[in-house]
Amino acid sequence: MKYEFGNDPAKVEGYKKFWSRESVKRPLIGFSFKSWFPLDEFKASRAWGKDAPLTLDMVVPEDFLDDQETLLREGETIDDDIFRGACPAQMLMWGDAILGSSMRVLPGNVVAEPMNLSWEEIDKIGFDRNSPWCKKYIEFIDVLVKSSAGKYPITHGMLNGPMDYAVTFRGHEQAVMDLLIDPEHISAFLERMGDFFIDITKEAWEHIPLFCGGYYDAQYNLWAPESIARLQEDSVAVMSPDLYGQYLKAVDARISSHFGSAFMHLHATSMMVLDQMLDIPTLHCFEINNDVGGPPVATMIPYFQMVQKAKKSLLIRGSFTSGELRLLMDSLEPTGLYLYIMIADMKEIEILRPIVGF
Amino acid sequence: MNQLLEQLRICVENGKENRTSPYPPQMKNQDGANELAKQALDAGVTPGDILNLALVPAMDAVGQKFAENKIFIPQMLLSARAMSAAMIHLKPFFQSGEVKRKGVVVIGTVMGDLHDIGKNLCSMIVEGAGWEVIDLGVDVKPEQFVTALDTYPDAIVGLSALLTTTMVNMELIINSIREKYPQTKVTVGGAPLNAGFAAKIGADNYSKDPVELTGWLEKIAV
Repeated sequence: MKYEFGNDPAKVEGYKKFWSRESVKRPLIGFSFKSWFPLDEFKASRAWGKDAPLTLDMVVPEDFLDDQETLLREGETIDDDIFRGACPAQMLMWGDAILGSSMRVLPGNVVAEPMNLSWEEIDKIGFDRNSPWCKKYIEFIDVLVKSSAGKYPITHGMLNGPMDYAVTFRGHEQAVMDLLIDPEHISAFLERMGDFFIDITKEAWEHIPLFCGGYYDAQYNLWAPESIARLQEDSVAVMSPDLYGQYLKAVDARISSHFGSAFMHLHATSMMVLDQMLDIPTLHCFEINNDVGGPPVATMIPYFQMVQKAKKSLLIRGSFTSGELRLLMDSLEPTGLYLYIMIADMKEIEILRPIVGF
Repeated sequence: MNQLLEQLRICVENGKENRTSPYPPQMKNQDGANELAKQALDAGVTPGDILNLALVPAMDAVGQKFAENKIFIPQMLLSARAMSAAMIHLKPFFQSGEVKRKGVVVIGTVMGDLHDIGKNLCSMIVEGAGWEVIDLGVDVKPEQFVTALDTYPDAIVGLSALLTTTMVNMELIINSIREKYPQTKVTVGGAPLNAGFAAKIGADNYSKDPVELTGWLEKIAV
């Protein structure tokens, strides 16, 4: 039987083994045509004026639905282990918008404009369920839920991490300086942003039905048996391991403790704090991007192995050459490993498929 | 070496900007780079010596510690700010021509990207190494770089990006620059980049940190 969007419920078993790190012969494998640029994948967002503010009325959930379903149809032509699902406009930094940051559309990207606020202004920032952007966020989720009618899973939108919010609202340089010269203020703000992350994530899950009895993250096509929080702390790249340990680690630990299947999204630039993150018992999985232009895969292997040694599940997303994929397969245990392989065409899948033993 | 210069070097290396700055805690209530640079000039130390015997060695040490993962961006930022505080007193001597600039560097964060910390660090440190820096800011379009080169045709261009979604714009900018100024040297940097990517997009150099960048600039300035 052919399932719409390729979402065969039997795929759940592979995900369960991934999360429980049950012994397997090959990793969980997903192939996808989805690019690094979600802004360009939807007619609705392509139409947004570049170099212009993104206003609430420009985000019309219904305008995304056709392209969303077209993207998910890749699951009907690609034979792999993963579900396809959707989230509210992935290109949008929902958390920043809900907290009051201005959104701006730039070529290839939507960004939260750094605001350089004073501490007095910062004190007024918090989670407001009645904020227009929060209402839009929930509306978007509701529209997706209705449209999917249970045929594909829905997830929360893109949320930055607490330090990322500090960078948005205090400015890049100032947020870093705060950690050194005004730790009390920034520490209190990071705690509040941790609360926000927990609240907004829980709020979203209240509107999202389970899919095959579990939860889902659309950015990584990751299903999980328990509630997901997809943490990220991109701004860790401008911190130091000591500062992370002092001010952020406990916040990340607290956020993840509220969700049964919490995972952390990381770039190569955050590897200096990987060992500390691996110490957080409630972070069960780590997603590490193989970014375009980033360090060679060979350089990243020791970090991938650190994750596996710590008995955490490991998800690696990116484009890979045959050689890189072979290196991953030779260097890593298939147990608790999910390779999300970004491909250009079906021919590439056929070249890579034998390497991953699929 | 002059004791003031040695004190200044220590201040910059440790990120002590001025007397009131609270960091580093062990140097609380001591003069910082701002005060010491002025005192050195008042005491008759030449601007060139302040630059070459205090500021440049301090930042070399910072770069070394950064490369060895002994310090990270926050500490480097403090050192760069301390150096900038000292540079304020040296600027008139550069402007009058008493101290020669090594050249001009036009720098900016590429279009689509609003991250400025890497670019600011480079601006401060490159300026402290004796270059005139034209900082175009963030989200800089190709034509803005070309316009800057119209004014400073011999300038070296530095492109910064923090996002994987914006680093691809570097290639567009390099192509625009090379269309009008084929000889212009372009250097790139930013957390998600590497040397392979830099070579692929036609950049002349990739530096993993600002101190490495000043090293490359020194080589091509000769």
